[in-house]
Amino acid sequence: MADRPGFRRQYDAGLHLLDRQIVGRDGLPVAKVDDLELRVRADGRLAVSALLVGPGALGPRVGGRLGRWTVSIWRRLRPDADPPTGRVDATLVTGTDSAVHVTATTEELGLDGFERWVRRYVVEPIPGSGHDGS
Amino acid sequence: MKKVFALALGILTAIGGFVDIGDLVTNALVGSRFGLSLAWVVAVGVVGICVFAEMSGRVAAISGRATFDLVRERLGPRLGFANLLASMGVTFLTFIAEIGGVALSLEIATSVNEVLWVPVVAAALWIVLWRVKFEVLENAFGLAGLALVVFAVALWKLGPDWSALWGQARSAAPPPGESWTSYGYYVVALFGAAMTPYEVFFFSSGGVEEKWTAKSLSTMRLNVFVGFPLGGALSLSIAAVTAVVFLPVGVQVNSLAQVPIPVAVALGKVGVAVALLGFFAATFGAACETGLSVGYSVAQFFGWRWGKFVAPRQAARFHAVVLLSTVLAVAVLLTTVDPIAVTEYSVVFSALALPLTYLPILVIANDPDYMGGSVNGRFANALGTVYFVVIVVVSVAAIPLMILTKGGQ
Amino acid sequence: MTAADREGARTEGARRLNDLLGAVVVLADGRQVGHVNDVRLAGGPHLQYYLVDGIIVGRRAEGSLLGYDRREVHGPWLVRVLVGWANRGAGYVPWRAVRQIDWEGARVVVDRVDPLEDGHAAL
Repeated sequence: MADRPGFRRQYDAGLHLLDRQIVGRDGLPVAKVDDLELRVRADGRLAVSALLVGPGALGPRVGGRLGRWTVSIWRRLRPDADPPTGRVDATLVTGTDSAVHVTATTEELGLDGFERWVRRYVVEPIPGSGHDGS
Repeated sequence: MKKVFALALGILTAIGGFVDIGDLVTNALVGSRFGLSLAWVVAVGVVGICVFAEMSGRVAAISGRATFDLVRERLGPRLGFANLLASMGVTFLTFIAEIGGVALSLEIATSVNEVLWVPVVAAALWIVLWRVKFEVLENAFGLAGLALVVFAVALWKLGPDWSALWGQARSAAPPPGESWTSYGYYVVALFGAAMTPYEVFFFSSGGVEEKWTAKSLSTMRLNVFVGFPLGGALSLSIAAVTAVVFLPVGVQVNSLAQVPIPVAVALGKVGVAVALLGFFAATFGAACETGLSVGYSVAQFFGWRWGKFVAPRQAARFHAVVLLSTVLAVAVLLTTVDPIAVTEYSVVFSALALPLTYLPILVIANDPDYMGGSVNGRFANALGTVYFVVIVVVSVAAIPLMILTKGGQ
Repeated sequence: MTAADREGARTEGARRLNDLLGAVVVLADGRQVGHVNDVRLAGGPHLQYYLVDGIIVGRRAEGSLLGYDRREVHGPWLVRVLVGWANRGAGYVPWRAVRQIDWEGARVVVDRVDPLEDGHAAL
């Protein structure tokens, strides 16, 4: 897509931002926009303050028993204390096209908790995990 | 030679759609019971998957996004999650069947029981998915699966009554002794087998793995318009040889071991060896396709890194899903369930799940935000709409027909 | 990333869009006019400067089908008809017409709902 995607004149938040792929500086997927954090300003207006990521954000949107169930399974899979909602500050977003581009990588954003856990306990013990298929 | 390899993705995808374990047995069965009177369904299915795959391939090339990635964007998290569970379920069932199919092929070749082969096959499969370059995977199994062309050769050698075969195909009606409801069931089964969601997940994800861009559109289309018709032709040749050999004597095919018999009649032991090689390659290739597709759909729904173009430790969750699916598949197969029975269910459920997967792609292929200038033209939209209606009709008819015919009896 | 940043939406005065989506929209006299289907953001030049400019109101609580209620659905006639029918009755409430947002009760009180013009925003 465009080398440096910009910003739209206006957004419909649900249509253009929610459920979109977040792409890091390295061009690799980070996560999906599971929800948006809105900041209530002193004058009462709502500003976009962050992208919310993770089961804590997605669970309520899937809703119902299925959503709550998924969140609790996720929590139990990762008993280490990372909170289930990740946050990408709005200042880190560099532009949008069909995806939302940010200026950091997944690791720098601190959103790789689950990935690190799976990598450490499932993937790394298996030989050959460091070679890419190309 | 490079040109041939450029088509490997399309051919491998088509193999998973037209000559995987379910198709191998179903097409042979259909030929032995209905002759070629269901050939039109394969033709309709080929056109349908070409329409669907071309749109998904175009979306992948222009937007850089694979199919399941976009399903959530258009359907939202709740409906998208329901779709994920349904698609994953179907793909996983097929994955189980394919591993079983590889084991069955080895059983026929070696007389060692299928269940004993299952862990070996699963281990080999998983190592391939873990380490082997995507390109090598495509080329090896896509092209080796073409060994199934031995069925077309056998058909030629048998010197059948071509006009009789053509008459069956034209009649588009059940032959005497078969009811319209069983005929209808097999219409749904053959169509569902031709247009499975995982073909599109795999094709579009493979396109992203191969870093398609707008310049790749003609290669992508070549893959579609050569690969899928070729797959359809292979499956029709299997139905044709069983129609020639089994239909006149009223023998019904219901196991993989019977499928090479017409080839044995026409070409002897060498033919059977080639056919078994083809079975092995096609089912192994289809197992790769479905195993990866389970991982693709989960990873793309949640926005994780996925794919074989990064090292496994860079896409740990994706590989963990594939590993877990393989382990679960082995567990299911070790209960000695019949892989062919599993495949019958997966085909019908895939017909059910298809509309929800197809509609977002049809819509996005028209959206200039994703596609720039490459949105659907009027012809693509006309075909796309027709097939959307067909898919919905098939989806609605699937369960009633399955119940009425008790799974095709 | 500081610990505070990773606390999720518990920073002061922070809300989640999802809490607003699906909320019942009523007029000052209590008449229900629909549900919040989406919010329109305007501003810039960067994301943190965008403000909610208005609310898109629809009949369904779950949101618009395929998300295409407020722009020309480019596409096959059948899809346009289906999507248009499913999303009929969409309206727009500019921010100045929003009186009150009850986040916990999922309820928004507005002065009026305007017809939804085609929001064909240029990139």
